[in-house]
Amino acid sequence: MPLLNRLHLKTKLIASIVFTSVIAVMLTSFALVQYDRNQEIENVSEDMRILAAIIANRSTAALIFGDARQAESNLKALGENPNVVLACIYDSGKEVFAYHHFTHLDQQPCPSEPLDLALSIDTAIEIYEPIELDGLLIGTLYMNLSLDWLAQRWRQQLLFISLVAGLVLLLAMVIAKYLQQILVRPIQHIATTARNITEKKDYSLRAPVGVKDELGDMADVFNTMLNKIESETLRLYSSEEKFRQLSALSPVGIFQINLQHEITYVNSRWSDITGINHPLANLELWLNRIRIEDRRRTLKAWSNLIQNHEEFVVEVGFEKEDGDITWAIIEASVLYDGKGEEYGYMGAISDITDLKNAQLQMENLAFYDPLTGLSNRRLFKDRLNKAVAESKRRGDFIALLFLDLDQFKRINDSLGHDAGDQLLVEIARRLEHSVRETDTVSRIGGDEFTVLLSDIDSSHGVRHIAEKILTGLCKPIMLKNQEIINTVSIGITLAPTDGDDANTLMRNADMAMYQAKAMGRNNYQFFSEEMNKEMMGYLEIEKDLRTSIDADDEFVIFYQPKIDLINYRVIGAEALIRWQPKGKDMVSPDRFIPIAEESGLIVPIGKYVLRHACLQVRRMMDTKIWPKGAKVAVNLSARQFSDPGLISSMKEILEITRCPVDALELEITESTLMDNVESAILTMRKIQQMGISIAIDDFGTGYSSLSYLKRFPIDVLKVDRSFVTDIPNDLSDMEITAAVIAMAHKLNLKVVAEGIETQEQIDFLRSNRCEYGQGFLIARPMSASQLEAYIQQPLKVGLR
Amino acid sequence: MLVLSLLAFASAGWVHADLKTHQIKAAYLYQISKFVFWPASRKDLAQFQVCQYGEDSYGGTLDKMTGRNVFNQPVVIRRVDGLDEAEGCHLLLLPDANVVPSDQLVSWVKGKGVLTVVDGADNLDHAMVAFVLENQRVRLHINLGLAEQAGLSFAANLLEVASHIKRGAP
Repeated sequence: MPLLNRLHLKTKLIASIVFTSVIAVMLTSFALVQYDRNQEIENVSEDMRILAAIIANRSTAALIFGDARQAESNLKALGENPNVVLACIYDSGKEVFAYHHFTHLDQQPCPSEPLDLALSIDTAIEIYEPIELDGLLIGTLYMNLSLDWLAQRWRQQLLFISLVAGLVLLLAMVIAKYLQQILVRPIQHIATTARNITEKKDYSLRAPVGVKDELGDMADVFNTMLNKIESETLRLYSSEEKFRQLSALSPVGIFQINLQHEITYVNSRWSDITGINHPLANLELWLNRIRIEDRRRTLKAWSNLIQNHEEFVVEVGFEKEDGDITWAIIEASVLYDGKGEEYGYMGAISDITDLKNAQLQMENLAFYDPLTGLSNRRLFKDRLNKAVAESKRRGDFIALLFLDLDQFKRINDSLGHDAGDQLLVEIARRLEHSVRETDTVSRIGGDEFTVLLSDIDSSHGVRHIAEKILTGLCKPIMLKNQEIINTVSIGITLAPTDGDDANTLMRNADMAMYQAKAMGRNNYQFFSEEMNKEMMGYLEIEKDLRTSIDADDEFVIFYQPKIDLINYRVIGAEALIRWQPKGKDMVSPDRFIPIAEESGLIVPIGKYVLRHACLQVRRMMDTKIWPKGAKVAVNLSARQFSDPGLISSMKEILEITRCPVDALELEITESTLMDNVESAILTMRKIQQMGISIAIDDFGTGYSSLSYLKRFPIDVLKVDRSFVTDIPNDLSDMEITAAVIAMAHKLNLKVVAEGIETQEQIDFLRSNRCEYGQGFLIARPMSASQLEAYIQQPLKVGLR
Repeated sequence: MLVLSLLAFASAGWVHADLKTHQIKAAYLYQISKFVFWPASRKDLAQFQVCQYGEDSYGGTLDKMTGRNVFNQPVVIRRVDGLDEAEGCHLLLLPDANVVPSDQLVSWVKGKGVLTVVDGADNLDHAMVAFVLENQRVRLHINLGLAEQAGLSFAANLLEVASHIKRGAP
């Protein structure tokens, strides 16, 4: 069969027709020959039996009268048939009475005795004819006929059959050839067309339709299919062309990978970013270009994509041959075909080098003190938090030392800032020498330092270090050729004995430091219970807060306007809460807000602020005072942000107050968002879907990853006041501010600078294209009625 | 059975004994009657009469024919002493032809349907069948002309085995 399958259809057709014809001729001939033979034998036998009967009858007298000669002469009559070889007559005793041979050659004797059967046809025809007289058997006639004539006849027939078969073969071949032209040619046309299309990629070719039968139908169907393929191909080409143009113009690198993990497509932007030229592109080379620090993470994400079909986003750096690093975000997902089966992976790679550099620069500036190289307040806070958590876990102690220089201001004033800076650098160096490498020394303010001692056995060890510091720092220092002796006051607190959170510990250490100052400076003091008494005030505040929430009239909302730094128009206001418990003095938000946050009272207070702010905006809108597009900003604390009822209560308040959502902005601190990024993103999306814009407050104090920041659905960044305040005195803060603004613009965010107090600050911010500003210079927080008046006044006087 | 045994005997060879010759002639007589076509009137008779005229040249072996049938009629052996007694005979055996003058016998048989049998070739002129001893074998001579006159004919088979046939008018 495999051999037969390899033959041409043409050959098969011809072969089958010829084969069938020859077989038919053979079978028919064989049947005819066989029939002829039987008929011939039957005829001859019949004739011979009649002849035998006659001879038998004729021989009765010869037999009766014992005339063997006469009997033999009777037998000779049988010679009329040339095929008779031998004839014999037996008498009633079954003895041979007479016989005659008709041939001279090959004479065989008569059978020894006659058989009962009348006719036997084997290699010869044998006839036994009984000789009867008057009903009595008086002998038997035997006759033997040769079949040679049949063989002769058969040979003639064979010759004739061969001749006919030959003719049939010829005829069959002619017919087959003709049939082949009729049947196979249209099929060949189709095959040739298909082959040409495959070779030339010319889908406009068509198979000729010559006949109207099923083969013609087949050609029609084939052509229809080609029409469809041609139009599909055109559509595919144009779609592919569109994709090619899009991807060529794309600012994003695009790549496609097949299931064998071979890169099948990249655009030119991809090559720019990875530094790999297209012909060299393969996955291994690409992954090897990724910085070793990012590679493991990337491989993990890849294998997760391949095994679990989870799309991924990773931030990686590519090391270029010149040593530069290109920062990029790789996103990839599975490609499915029309049937929903995966056939590869596709992804995009975006260059975030500028963004990343801005972030790195910012982080550097944000976490280290440029003067002394020590960690700054932010980093210190982070370390403190971690150390507290670590000590809780391990069950050991940590100590926090708060240092304040005793005569810094005097030295600064008398010897100048340079000398002051020199002093600070020297102090920092001595402090670092006084502690273990694992301990953290930070400069958290102008002349304020902290030392974080972890893994402390006892207060005795701390005491020893504190004394070492005091001794070390009071050694003379040469400043501008003057020998200066500087001393410090140290406040010490222990965790977890005195407190188990960073804020408490800072407060404790601060209190202890003041105690040390009060004790005459150049000494150290441990935090004590007496100092803690102060803290008891907290509990009273919490109690008063509950009373005030129920009373509803002891909170007041103040508004601090925000303006456009280009045209000084009011673009909104931040709602700020003020609290005066009944019969007591006004309490600062810095004091009561942390307590409200900790106790959970911030949630009802927050609702109060939101409701009143919304009511106020609605009122101003109704009186046409509220500027078009302006937003009232309401702070959302961490506790409120994670409140499951947040969205529904906001919707309710907006509905009751009839305040439009686009007039509302929520300010959320960076640290709040970083607590739980994934759920924060979900909540932010819900807020954004409502139509409320979101601002990140205190930006720059946290250290959020850029890849997260990109995913936050935010509209505005608020640069923390601590950066703005030191403009233009602190160069590093100015750099941070500029970097934050630049980065925000890269992320398409607007920037609000807080805490603007001087014209220099405004000038600096404007030159860095910061959009909006807020601060005492522009306006202090004011009551609702004052705000109405402020908005209506013609121009912001006092501003250039 | 008798015939068969006789035939077997004959084929085995001739014995020079009168008895044997008598027996063969008797057997032949019976067989000859089967090859003779009798006129229909002769078949209606109640008996197949074998008549002996003159002395017995069969040595008494003729009696053995008694009890057998020729065309379903029992064979009867009868002696006759004159031609007038021989009217009902089928076979008339004349051992010596001279018992009746030959011209009288020839004229008598005309239309009679009686087969006359004699011994010796010399007597064939006035009889239809003659038993002749040739080469010590009993052979038949047949006078066809006379038989035709008597209204008798012979099967071809019989004529074939006859060693001499006399044709034409007697």
